[in-house]
Amino acid sequence: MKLEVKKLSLSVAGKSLVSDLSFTVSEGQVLVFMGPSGCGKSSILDVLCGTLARNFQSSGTIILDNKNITHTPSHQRGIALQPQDHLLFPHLSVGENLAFGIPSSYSRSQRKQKIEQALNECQLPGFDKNNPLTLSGGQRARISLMRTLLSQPKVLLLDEPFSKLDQALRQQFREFVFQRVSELSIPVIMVTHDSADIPDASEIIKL
Amino acid sequence: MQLAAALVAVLFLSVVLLGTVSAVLPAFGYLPILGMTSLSFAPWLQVWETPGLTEMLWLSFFSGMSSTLVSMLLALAFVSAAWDRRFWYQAQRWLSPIMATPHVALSVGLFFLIMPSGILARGLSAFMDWQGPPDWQTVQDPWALSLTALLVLKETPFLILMLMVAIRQLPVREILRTGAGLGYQSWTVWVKLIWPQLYLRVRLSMLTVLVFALSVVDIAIVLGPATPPTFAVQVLNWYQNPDLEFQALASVGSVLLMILVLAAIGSIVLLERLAATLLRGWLTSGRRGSGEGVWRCLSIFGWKALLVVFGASAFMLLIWSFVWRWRFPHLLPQSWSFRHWERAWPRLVEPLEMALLIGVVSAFLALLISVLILEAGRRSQIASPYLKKMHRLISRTMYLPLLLPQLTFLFGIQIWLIRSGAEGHWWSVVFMHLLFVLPYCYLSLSGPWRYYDERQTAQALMLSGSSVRAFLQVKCLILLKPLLASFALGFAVSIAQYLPTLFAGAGRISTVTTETVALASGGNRKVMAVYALVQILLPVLMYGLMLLLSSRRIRNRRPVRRWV
Repeated sequence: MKLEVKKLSLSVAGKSLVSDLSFTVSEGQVLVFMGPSGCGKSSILDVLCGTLARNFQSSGTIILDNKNITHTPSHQRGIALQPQDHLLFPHLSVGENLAFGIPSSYSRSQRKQKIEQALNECQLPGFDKNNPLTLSGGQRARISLMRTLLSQPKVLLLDEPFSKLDQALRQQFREFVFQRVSELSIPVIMVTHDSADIPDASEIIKL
Repeated sequence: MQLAAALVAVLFLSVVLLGTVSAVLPAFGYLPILGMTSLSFAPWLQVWETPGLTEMLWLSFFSGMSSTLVSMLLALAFVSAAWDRRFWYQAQRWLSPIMATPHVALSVGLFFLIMPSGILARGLSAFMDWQGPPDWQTVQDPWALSLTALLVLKETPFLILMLMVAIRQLPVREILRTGAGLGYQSWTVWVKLIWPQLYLRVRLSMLTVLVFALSVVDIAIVLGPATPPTFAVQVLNWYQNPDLEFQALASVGSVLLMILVLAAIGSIVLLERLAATLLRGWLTSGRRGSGEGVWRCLSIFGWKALLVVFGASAFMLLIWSFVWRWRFPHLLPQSWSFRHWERAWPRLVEPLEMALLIGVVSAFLALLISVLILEAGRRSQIASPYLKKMHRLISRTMYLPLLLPQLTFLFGIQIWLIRSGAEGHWWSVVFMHLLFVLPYCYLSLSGPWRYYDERQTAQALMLSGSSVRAFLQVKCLILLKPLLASFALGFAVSIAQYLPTLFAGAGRISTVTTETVALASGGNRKVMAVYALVQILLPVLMYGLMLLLSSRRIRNRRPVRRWV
């Protein structure tokens, strides 16, 4: 699995944010975009994911696994985005939030098994019936990431995944994320403005 | 200020509760004003023996429940399809005039549109080779379908407006991004993730729609079935019966109406639980959805159809008010005339003046009271938790008249008005209108008040040293547009009131609305069109005037310059 982006340009209200940016991310590789707020880091992720706001304009080509997906609807791209807010859906329990990520091809017992396994990996066994609003920031972040991974994405995009966590949780969650990412062996793109968040041996593009 | 706000709320609450209790007592034979002092169940037995009682109750229940559920579904579908698109901004522009249209005028317009000799039947006659109007019951049908359609037409825009306010509290863009990242179609994300959260936020508004639909009288007289009518119309018939014995029956009826409303609310709760149980598995089944384009197109088509029917209904009023000769199946009138206007105008002047007076006074009072309560509420946020709690209670009290059937408590209030000799005065009608105008003014202002940046007033206070000047010349001026819009909305709500005018006016006060409804039960259709058109024009002109005022004021910005 390889993600290639060719000549990506991005602008908003006539102001150019990114122009002619090209990059390639291979399996297991982590590409990091660094830069100050407002430079267009998160918008690049939106272009890749197909969820760019209407007031932005973009051009360029996105190729995933030798297939041009530039105009493919966002839900068919197989590119998952992990937002910085670690959004959990409040009307679903913790277990149901995880189930939301699992593809429908799995049987009921397989889904149950996957949820249990995910909760164990998050060190939250027995939390499946809990209300997500009762979780701490770190617990929410882990569940949210696990939900994204359970959807079996071809590419993972991390939008400042550690920015909303305090220092102690940040370290813990960083280890949690990169451990899972190395196990999955898929292309990963991360956006951050903090160099401490960047894992070793990752490629960095400064904006 | 806190005390004044609390006093207003207590007064508001006591009037509504006293009205409800006073309406219930005659149901058990206790109405001293008519010399009935012994308790009895005889009125209940009489009501029980009324022919067609079950059918009347069913018609009310069916039209109320189905119109509410359909309106809610249409509103949710429209919001999902239009959010952040061109239609979203178009709807924001169109919702105010739609909301301002009095429902009686709209029902008359729809009547002209869909009646067997209406424009739709005339259009069809060219293909069907009809020489006379078809023998169809398209209006006042025994199944209350035309009434249900009108309720959907009127209530969907209200629910869209409420959803537009509620949606600001949700991170919609984030939810859509997350859902898309998990492989879900955006329509499925709306239905599975956003609808459940939005529904909780507009549930109370939906219940007010349900209560209104179950207990509505004026539009049910125009479009609803006649033999038997909906239950609320039957209760009004009992109230208006010159034989005073029927007052006890009317009272039983109003209690039954209340029970019907409670049963409908209970059914909604039951449906919610059922949906929560049955749909839970589907929510987390992992199905990513299909047919997004179809759903989106259908929703936008629904919105466009609603606008077309709305516009066509209003246009029909204009046509019919000038028609002199229009034989079926001609598509266009054969001759036009001003005679209906000439005939109606001398009798229209007094109700028109009265409607204007009552509308302006009640909207102005409602605006003042709303500002008072909202300001008190804002200050309670920085005061004690006790005051904060009290304000939350006051805010909820505002909804009460919208959650009770009008007939139930208005009759009780009328008894007190008769006792105190206040019945039949314009100011007592203003008082009755306030019960319904105030909630709408308060609701429309509470959003802008909440989002106002208080630092601007603080800055003005620092520069001027006068809290009154800071409030009037900065806060009120910045919030001028919502204040004027709220006034216009209050005026529109007052213009549309039928039962409060009828009960407090005691037949001595008539407005354009009461006259239009009176004409609907057997009057000249063309004159009825004139009345209904005038009824529409009043709030539309007021909205236009307020829009003009706010745009001129904002352009000049004279008082603001003083601070710069």
